[in-house]
Order: sequence, then structure tokens, then C-alpha cells
Amino acid sequence: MARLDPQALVTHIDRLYRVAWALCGSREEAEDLVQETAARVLAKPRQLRGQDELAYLVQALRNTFLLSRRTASRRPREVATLDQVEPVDARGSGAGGFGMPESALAARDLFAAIAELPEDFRLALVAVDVAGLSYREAADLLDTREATIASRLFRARERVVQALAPEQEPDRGEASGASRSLR
Amino acid sequence: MMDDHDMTHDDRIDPLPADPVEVPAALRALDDVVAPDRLRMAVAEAVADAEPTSARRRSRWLLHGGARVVLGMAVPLLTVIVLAFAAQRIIAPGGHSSGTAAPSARDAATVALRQPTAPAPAATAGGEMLAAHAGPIAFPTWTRAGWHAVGARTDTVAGHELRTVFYADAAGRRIGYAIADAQLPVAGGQLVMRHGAQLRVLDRGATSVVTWRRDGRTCVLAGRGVPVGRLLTLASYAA
Repeated sequence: MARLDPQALVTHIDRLYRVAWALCGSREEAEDLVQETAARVLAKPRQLRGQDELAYLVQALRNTFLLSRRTASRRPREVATLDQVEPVDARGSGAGGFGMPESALAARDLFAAIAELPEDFRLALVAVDVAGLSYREAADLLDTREATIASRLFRARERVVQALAPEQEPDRGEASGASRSLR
Repeated sequence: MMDDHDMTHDDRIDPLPADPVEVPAALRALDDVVAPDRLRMAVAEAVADAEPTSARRRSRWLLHGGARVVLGMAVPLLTVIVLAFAAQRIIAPGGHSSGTAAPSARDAATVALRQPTAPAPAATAGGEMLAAHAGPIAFPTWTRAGWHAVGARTDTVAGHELRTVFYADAAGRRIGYAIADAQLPVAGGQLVMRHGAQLRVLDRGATSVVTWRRDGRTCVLAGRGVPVGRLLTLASYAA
């Protein structure tokens, strides 16, 4: 049985970062999620069990994400408030005032819309459209059937488009209400 | 100026999808969204730390059945050698501090909990950093976080220089921020992520210790009676 080469984490770091961003909806949380996933994966040798490296790592990322969400919901935050500290170096991008190019804004909006999807839809969309897994690999990852993946994917894409749609004109308010009722 | 998170392309506007069938293409257009350098470096460092080449070769070799026979004979012999080496270390004059083995992050934490031997460094003109540094890393003032520098010390532990600045808060609690001139081994503890920084909590309870790596050095923040959350917050901005 093939063993995961730890270097795969480095090879796929950009894709993992995009997957994490789409799952979390935040770049900062995405960084934390990728690092935590790397730490968990590197804790011991990993067997691929027929998966390719990327599929394995996406699964690890997804498991870490779900675990962290469950843990966070049970545990009060223990850190002091951020306004108590003064950043000592220029490591951050500031409090939202960063000058992002249009493409970065597109990424932010798209990933934020994905992060707002119901979990099943989000995981299907991230697995196929962001991670680039096949329907078969996504079905294995999410422990479901390919047909279910296809269905979730269709509805997830639909919801993303709805979420990104510009504000409706007043005379189209009825249509807007109808689309919201789908959620 | 693009920050660490910015994309590699900055002159192409990727339209947001207006139809569900456009979503895959819109996401593919973001394929050049790359991981920030600090994340890339942190993961690369973690991979390098996790499995040295020699250990990888050894573990593969051990998977082969023939190795088990040799292992059966080697383990008792190895045990004797390790015990003999340990005994020699214990009775060596000078003990730990005179040995050639690298100290651990826990050793650095022990120093960070000691008393200062020098006055507190002055703040630099900007008011955010102290006029004290370990290699490229300057010590912060942390005054706006409620801490002020109260002393310093410099130690040499097993051949490695350890610079420590001590801080106190209004309640009289003291913490030590120690920076070693090398990456020290860290065993155990709990890995914690804070704002993109990879930190490790070594102890809990009355003594809190947080350690991280930066610029090829090991940094340790330790304090008694200080919530570990306070240390994590300070550390996340120093890491």
C-alpha cells in the first residue's frame, strides 16, 4: 500500500489553501486550517489506501475543518481580546483595509459565498470545483454516491450564483423573494 | 504594494458567475490564488522537521520482514548502549549545561522563569520595540497589551545563547520571553494556531509555556499564574 509522501503537502499547498479558504470563508482561518491539517497529517506515516495524494489531503483538510468546527462550538475562546495587543511586526494585512486587486475581491466574494452554503453542498462544491476531484473521488471522500454529488453540486452552484447576484431592482422584488425562499 | 495574501495576477478581472454553469470556470480562474509565503514556509518547515531522510529510510527498511529478525537481536544490545550513554551523561562533570547536546525548548522555558540579571532594555524611538534583540528578532515593548519590560538576562545553555527579556503587568505577574540562537527540539505539548502562527503550548496550569519558531530560532514565552491565552495572544503577534 502506498504511503503518503509528506512533500505532497508542499506540492499541493496552493490548492489546499484555496480549498481551506472556500471551506472557512476567511483567508486567516484558511491559513490556520492548512497548518493544522499539515500538523495532523505529519504526526505519523499515512497510507493512501488507493487514493491519490491530493484526494487524501483534501479529505484530511475536510476532517480537520469539521473537527475544528465541532471543537470550537463546544469551547469558549481563551485568548485575550485582540485590541489588547499591539502587533509587533508587519505580518498582517490590517483590519480589512488591504488594497486587494479585483481578482482578489472576486476570490473573496466567491469563497465567502461557498462558505455560507449548507455543509453537504459546500463540501461537494469544494471537492469538485475547487479541489478538482472527480465525481468518483468526491463521492468516496464524502461517503456518498456520484449521483448525489452531481445533485448537490448543481444546487450548490445555483445557490452560489444567487448569493453573488447584485441587488435586485425594486420592480423585481417579487423574483428576489422567490429566490430567497429556495434557501 | 501587494500584501502577503495578494494574488499573482492583478490586472485581470474575473467576473463573478451569473449562471450556475459558469461557477466551475469562475473557480478555475482563481487557480492562481496562491498560499501566502509564511504559510508555504511554515508547512515546508513542518515537513522537513517531521521526517528526516534517515528516519524515512529506516522506517521503510523496518517494514521488511527480514528486519524483524535483526531487530530482535539488536534491541537488547541497543538498550545496553543507551543505558550506558545515559549513565555517562548523568555523572559527567557540569551535567546538562556542559554537554554538547542542544537544550530543549523546555530548558529555555526554565530560564525564562528565572530572575533577571540585567536592567530592562529601553524602548526604541517608535515605542513598540525594545533596544534588545536576538539576531534579527527584536523584543517588543508590549506596553499596549498591559505589560512592561522589567529586566533581562543572557545565558549560554549547552553552547547556545539564550536572550531573555522579562515583562510584568499591573498585577505584578511576570513573564519571560526567551529567544535561543538555534531551533531547539520540542517534545510533546499541544499545537495551537493563532492568526496564522503555529504555536505550541507545553504546559498548562500554574506555569504556562508557549513556544514557536521564527527566523531559524526558537522563541519561548513562559509565566507562572498567567493564563495561557494571554501568552498565546502575545506570541501570535511575535511569531
